[in-house]
Amino acid sequence: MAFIECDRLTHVYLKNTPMETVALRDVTLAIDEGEFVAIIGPTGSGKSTLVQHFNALLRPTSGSVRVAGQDLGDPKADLKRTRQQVGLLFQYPEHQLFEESVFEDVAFGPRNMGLNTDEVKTRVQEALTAVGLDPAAFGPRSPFALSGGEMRRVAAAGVLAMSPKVLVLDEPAAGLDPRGKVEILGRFRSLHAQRGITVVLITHDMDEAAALAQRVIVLDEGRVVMDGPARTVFTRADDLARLGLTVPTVTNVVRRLRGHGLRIRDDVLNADEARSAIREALGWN
Amino acid sequence: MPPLIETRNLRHVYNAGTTSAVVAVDGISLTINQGEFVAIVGGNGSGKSTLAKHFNALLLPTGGEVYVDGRDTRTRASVWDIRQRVGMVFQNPDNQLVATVVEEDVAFGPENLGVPPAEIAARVEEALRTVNMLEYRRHAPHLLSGGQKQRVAIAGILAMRPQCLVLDEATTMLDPQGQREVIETIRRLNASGVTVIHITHAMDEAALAHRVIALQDGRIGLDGSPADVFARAEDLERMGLALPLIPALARRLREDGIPLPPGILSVDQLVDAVSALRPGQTARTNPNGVH
Repeated sequence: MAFIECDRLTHVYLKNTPMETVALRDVTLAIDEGEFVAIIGPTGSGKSTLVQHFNALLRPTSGSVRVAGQDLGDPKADLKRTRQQVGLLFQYPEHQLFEESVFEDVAFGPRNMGLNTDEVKTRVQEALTAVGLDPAAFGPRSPFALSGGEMRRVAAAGVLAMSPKVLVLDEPAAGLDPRGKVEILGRFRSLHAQRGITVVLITHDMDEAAALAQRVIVLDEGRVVMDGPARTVFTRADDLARLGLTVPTVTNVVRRLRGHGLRIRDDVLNADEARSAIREALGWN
Repeated sequence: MPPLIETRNLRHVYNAGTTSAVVAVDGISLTINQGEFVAIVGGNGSGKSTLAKHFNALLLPTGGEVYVDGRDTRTRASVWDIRQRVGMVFQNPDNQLVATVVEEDVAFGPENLGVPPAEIAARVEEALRTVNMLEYRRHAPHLLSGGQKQRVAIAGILAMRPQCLVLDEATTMLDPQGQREVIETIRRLNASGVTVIHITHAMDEAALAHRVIALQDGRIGLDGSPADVFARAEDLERMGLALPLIPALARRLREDGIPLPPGILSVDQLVDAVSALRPGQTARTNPNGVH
């Protein structure tokens, strides 16, 4: 049984009003434990609406969502448990920091879970370490005196301190400088690789999706229009272009080279793969 | 004719004289001429935004001087002249539009300049046409997409007939579609003679400019054409910046011994250069790899 299962999930905002908008239409998908999934799609395609169903921040208008076997539409469902299992990092999460110190901010979730002081302290230290911030140095500091990239990592630590099984990230690198971007995405990559945490990544950046995710789900106008391995989805450049989406930069390079008559594989996802493909195609080995 | 913008040993210290003093700009001397398209890059805290805010007297130097079209920004009487010449677009598209109708928002600047009403109407129309937003003139700004909002913000500045447009991370919060819209708009404006200064984290956007200035710790680290600046991979890395993907890939291929020409910045240039090396192909690449 998959960890997250959506069955014909439909969500309508402001139903029965003149502003009625169908955000999701009959979305059926399953996400297993340990996957790293990217969700892509044009603005307004329903990406953020979809993931807010994964921890019951939104309820289906029709259809169902099950997390760890629990039907979230069941009035007796334990949503507190679901929200601990599925951690959601919103866009620009640093806007939600509010405590006086980094320690207190990260401790907020575990405290609400009713953990004792020692457990809270352990959770905070582990979470800060996981995002690459030294708990001793950063714990006492005001979150508002940090750099943009550091604030973003503190916000991520606040989610990790709940020990979620699934981490849902909505544009986690948006607006960061190049170093901040590499740093935070590297952290999520190792959380997945080393701890087996399931990651669902919403992104507009195809290079980012290709470099990190094994599977790519494409939404358009609230429907799932593609769902498969990143390597397969990103070879469908024409279909993606019709949705106003692009392929990763390096995929575009090899595709264009094929157009010039070069015999080169077209399923490359990152610079290393492009490098070997070009070397091979030029007979430069 | 004086340069459009000139800074002489510019320093800016926030909270000067207190224990929380921060030196944001630490001795920058640069000249930007009319018609240039300059990208300013640098990590967080490198001083990009602080520097940019001196270009239209939103901030005044705590040391050194800034001249805009020959006017010292510290002269109070010149401030309105300077702001009319150099307009700024900021990061958050939701914080910049003040009116409830697009065309009123665009009219706000020229109204404040005391432009006669008939001329305001003409300027608003022209500015909205330039950013491809004329059909939205009677729309409510808050219902537009991020890219559309930023284009309206740009139109509001164009309506003041500026010589220079400064974009302070104006594409950072936009989706790829919105980023493309804004980039296309500023390239077109630059082609028509407007000086553009684009502050960005996106190195691939910087590659589109004619000149790239990389800042580190409030000083200029690199200043040159994109081809020159992106040939200095180690220097950029030391500054916390990364090469854009295409120059980075070209560099690795050169390391493998593949004889690619220098200065490859775009997908087109890389594709042409690699195609020219195809087995059985006689090399006929442009030696600079630039078209």
